[in-house]
Amino acid sequence: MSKGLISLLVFIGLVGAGTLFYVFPTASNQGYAPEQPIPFSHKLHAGQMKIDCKYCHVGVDKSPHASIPSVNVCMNCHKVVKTDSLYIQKLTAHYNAGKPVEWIRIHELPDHAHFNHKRHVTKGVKCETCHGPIQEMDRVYQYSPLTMGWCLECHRGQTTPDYVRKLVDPENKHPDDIAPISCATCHY
Amino acid sequence: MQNQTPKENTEGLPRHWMTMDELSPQYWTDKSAQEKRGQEFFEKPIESLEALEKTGQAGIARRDFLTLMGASMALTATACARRPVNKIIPYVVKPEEITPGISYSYASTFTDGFNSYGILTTNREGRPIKLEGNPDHPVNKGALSVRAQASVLSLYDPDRLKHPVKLDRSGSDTGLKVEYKDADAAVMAALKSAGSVRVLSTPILGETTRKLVKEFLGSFRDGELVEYEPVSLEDVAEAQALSFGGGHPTIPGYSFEDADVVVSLGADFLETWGSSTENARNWAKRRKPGERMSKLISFESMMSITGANSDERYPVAPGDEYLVALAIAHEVVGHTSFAGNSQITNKLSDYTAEKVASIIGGVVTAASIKKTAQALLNAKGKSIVVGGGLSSKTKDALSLQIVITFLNCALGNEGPTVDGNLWRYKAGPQHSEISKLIGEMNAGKVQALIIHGANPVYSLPDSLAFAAALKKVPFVVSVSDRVDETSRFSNFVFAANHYLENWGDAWTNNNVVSLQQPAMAPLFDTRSFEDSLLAWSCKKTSFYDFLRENWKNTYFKSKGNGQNFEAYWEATLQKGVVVVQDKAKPAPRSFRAAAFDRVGKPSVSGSGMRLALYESVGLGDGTMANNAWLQELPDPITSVTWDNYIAMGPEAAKKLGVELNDVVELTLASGFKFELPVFVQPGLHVNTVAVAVGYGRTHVGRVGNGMGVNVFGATELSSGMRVASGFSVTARKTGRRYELAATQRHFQHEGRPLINDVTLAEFKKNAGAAMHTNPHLKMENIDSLSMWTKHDYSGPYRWGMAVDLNSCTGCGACVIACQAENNTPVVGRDRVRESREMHWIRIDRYYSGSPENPDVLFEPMMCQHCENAPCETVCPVIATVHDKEGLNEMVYNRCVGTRYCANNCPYKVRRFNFFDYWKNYSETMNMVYNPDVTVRTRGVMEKCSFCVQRIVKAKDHAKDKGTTVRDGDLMTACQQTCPTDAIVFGNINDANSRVSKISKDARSFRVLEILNNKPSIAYLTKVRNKESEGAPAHGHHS
Repeated sequence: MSKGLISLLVFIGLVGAGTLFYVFPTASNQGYAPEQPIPFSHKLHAGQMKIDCKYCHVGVDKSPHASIPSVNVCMNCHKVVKTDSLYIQKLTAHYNAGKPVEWIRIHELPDHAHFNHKRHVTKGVKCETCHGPIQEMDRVYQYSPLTMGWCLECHRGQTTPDYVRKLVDPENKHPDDIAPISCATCHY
Repeated sequence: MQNQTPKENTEGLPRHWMTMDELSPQYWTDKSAQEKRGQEFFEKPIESLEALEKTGQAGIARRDFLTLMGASMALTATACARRPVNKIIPYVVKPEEITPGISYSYASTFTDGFNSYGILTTNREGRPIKLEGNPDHPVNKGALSVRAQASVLSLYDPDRLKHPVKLDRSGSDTGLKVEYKDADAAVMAALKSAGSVRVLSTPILGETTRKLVKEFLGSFRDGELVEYEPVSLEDVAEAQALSFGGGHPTIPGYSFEDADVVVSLGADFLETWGSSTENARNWAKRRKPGERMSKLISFESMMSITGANSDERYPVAPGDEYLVALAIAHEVVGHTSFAGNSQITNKLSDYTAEKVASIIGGVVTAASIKKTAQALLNAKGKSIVVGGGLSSKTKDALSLQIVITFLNCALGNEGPTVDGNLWRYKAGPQHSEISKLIGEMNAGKVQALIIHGANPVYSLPDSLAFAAALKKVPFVVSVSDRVDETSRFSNFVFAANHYLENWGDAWTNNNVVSLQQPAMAPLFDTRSFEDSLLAWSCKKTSFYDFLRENWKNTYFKSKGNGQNFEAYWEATLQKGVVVVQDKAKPAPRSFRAAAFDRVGKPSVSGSGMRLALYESVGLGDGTMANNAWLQELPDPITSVTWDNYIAMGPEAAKKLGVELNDVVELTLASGFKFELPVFVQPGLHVNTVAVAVGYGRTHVGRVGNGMGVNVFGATELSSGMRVASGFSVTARKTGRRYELAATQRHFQHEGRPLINDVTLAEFKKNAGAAMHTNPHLKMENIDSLSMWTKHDYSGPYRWGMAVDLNSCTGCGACVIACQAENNTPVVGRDRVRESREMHWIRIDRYYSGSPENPDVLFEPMMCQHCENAPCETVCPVIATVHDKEGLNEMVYNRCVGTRYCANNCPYKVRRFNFFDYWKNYSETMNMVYNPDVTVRTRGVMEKCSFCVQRIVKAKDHAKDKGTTVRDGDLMTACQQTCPTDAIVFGNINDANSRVSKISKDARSFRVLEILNNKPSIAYLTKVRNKESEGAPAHGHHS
């Protein structure tokens, strides 16, 4: 085999791989842990202080969106708590100026996909099942791949945690049909 | 028997046709015609970048796109693809009532001319994204018209005036931005020195606003309110006053649900005349085939929605409606208590059916007039005669209305079906008001003029020189949502709120008051007319307080039932509407024969062409011309978008030697002339030419400017009324052509029968007849032949729909409701010409019978959600799949745009995003998007989803309650807005659901059943209330 042919093949292979990579980019941002404008620690708030998730994420059992708390929720405590911290002063400045904090989005589904927090939370699926040991995270990272395959494996009963299985199908009647998997469940 | 594909068999021509060329055998046999139809697009799409640039459409042609795509792929192959960093920006202080992701609604009121309808907004994160009718509102009961549905887009119109401006009064529309403080000071200074002040406003429906205006004007030496509405029912109101004496001019309430026979003399009461949404709903209640099915007979010039829905329709020349009225009265009077009243009979004696029929000609015969009169006589006290509207508003309009009022009285309808105790308008604006104002302005008697919304420079004929008169007023201030044709001559224009940002109320009829509350804070630096008036009268109160105070002293006082005001106010706000007075029993009024003194001889005559103006279904009087949804709504009858045109019958077009798209110049005796392309409209009298008003705006915004031609200039004012039709015109062929963006040839079915109709007589004889007029609509026992394995629908749901063609009036409200709900893009006139319109639901309009006077059928056509869907089997990437609930799902992120599915769809309901059409929504417009529905990008196929986001939501709510979705919990957007309840959606696995029951009706058929697609939508055959089938067109059918 001539060198030219090999290099051509290598080139085609590279371009092909690149094309595939472009068309199907890394679907998952698993492990993504961007620095936030204010280094809010879930380890401190949710872990040590044991503040209920729903205290801040008010939409999580009412709405498709868990929702990031508005600044006034932070200020409920931080009007008096740790006001000497530079970060809390920054937060207070936001509050006083009426300027929202621009958090960096970590968990993000691809376009065209809808996810409903309420359905999962009201069924009894725990936050940690998808979001991981959030109470130990100083800086939040994306614990799960949040890919379609990952969703489907759970919906099909392949990776469903036992406690969820018991919630959905206590008598184990349809072990491979835990939750709907039709396209329009999420894509519309 | 008719063959399924007539192009292969020249013997049979289609029983139902869309365009007249289908009636010619050559259309089916000629090779070049076949080839043209065989193309994917009727007109060839633009393929090159240069051509695209010429059209002004930003975008990249396909080939260039592929080139660029290849290059960028090579580049990115070496780089790492990481998704972009996105931000989440929460509220600083979250409003208590808002949970992100959850919609909530406010009850408010939409007003359109004289009509006011209750609405419920759907709000997401503080902004209204969709409007629905308020089911508690006694007038529209949940339904909304096309314009009401589209009005939410106008809220986000980026061409709205965003702040007050100061103008130089030269007519230039660019002004200097001013602060409210300075502008108010200038206005107040000018008003202080002005003794005579006029407020020129669109009809003020709200009692509270009216009170405020009166109070405001009361502080001047000479202050008066002038109301102006270009398309008004002044003729009806005036005739009522003359016929019954005393009181104020009113429009009576019509009970179409109690009428066995309805005769319309030009009035499009189902769409553009009177309380049309209410009329359509009530009329449709009596359209189910059976003993109680009502009959609708119409005599009209332009083909209106009402005419198209008539059981018997007779085309007449504009103005001849009056002759018909006289002839019917002549036939009827001898059989009524007025038989001996010579005051009346003398006026009628000349107009025998024979004489009138010979004058009118065409398909109108003495027998048809006598038959109509007899039908009315047979239904004494159970019939309605209506007339009017622009197209019959000739110089004889008042006479016509008096004769109609007489007919209703003579036939005993006054009371039972025409209710003078349920009147709608306190004082309909008369054009005498505006002509008086023009006189005063010209005489220098008006020192300050405040214009609110009215746009007479656009909608009055130039001969009245309103703009010139305006220049003689020292100080003019406008409160308007844009610097329009009229307000550009003002000193100041105060940016007005959209009605969804405004407080107010509206007097719907004498029993019902509708409350208007804002659904969002003003988007721009705008202020309501009412708040401006309060500011200028140095009052510190806001209009909100003024409104509450007024309600406290009026409606609450009379109907508060002793509760506390806060509770009453809260409850009323929530309900949006209040019944202020119980409906009185209809009391027949007695007709004053003296009114006949005002009945004149028909003044419109002659054998030449006569012009009829009419309001188009979408644009109406043109106020909302900058609304792209309305501009792109295909006219239900002609299917033309984005333009007005000269409609003339096939015979007239032949006489003039013109065809579709030929530009013709029309000249009136007054000297007014205009050029427009011709649209050949079957079913028009040979002497009729008809043109829609509402087009040709010049200062409305980027969407509406220069679309069509303004023909208000053809109108005249005569004895205080607007004359809009009956003018003799001469037509001249210019030799030029202009391509109308008509959709009627788009998405055709090659003559395959998709629709079915029978006469009531046939249906009564044999209900099965509804099925057997066309063998290809029905296929028994196809299962045994099917090559497909059956789907498993054993779950709790299987979604299906039923569409009753007897109820569908073709109004198009569903088209706009769907567009609003599903983020369907607007593509623009050029793209529509290429058959690339994106509406998920279209109204197919079919004709049957002769082109001189065809029957018309409407068929809403959307994705049929077939059980054996042809689209699913051809998708190479499985982007369209079937689910266990019978939905044909469209997965946008799988779609790679091969368009195989669209090619294989026999119903032609799939729409492809050739460009990033979402970019057509500029600036603030994207705020109208429904966040529950994906906004599609270029290269993606889309289609009706049965409002799957609503299904998901309904299931979500049901699961919250631990139940399943029950019948009635869920409505699709099209179903929700339908005034006539023609569309029913639901779960066909539930045998008791409405849709299941309707689907089993004797009239039920599935479209193209022979293909074994098994659609989930059942259509109910149209049954016409006529004795026999009309004369066949050409060819034969059996």
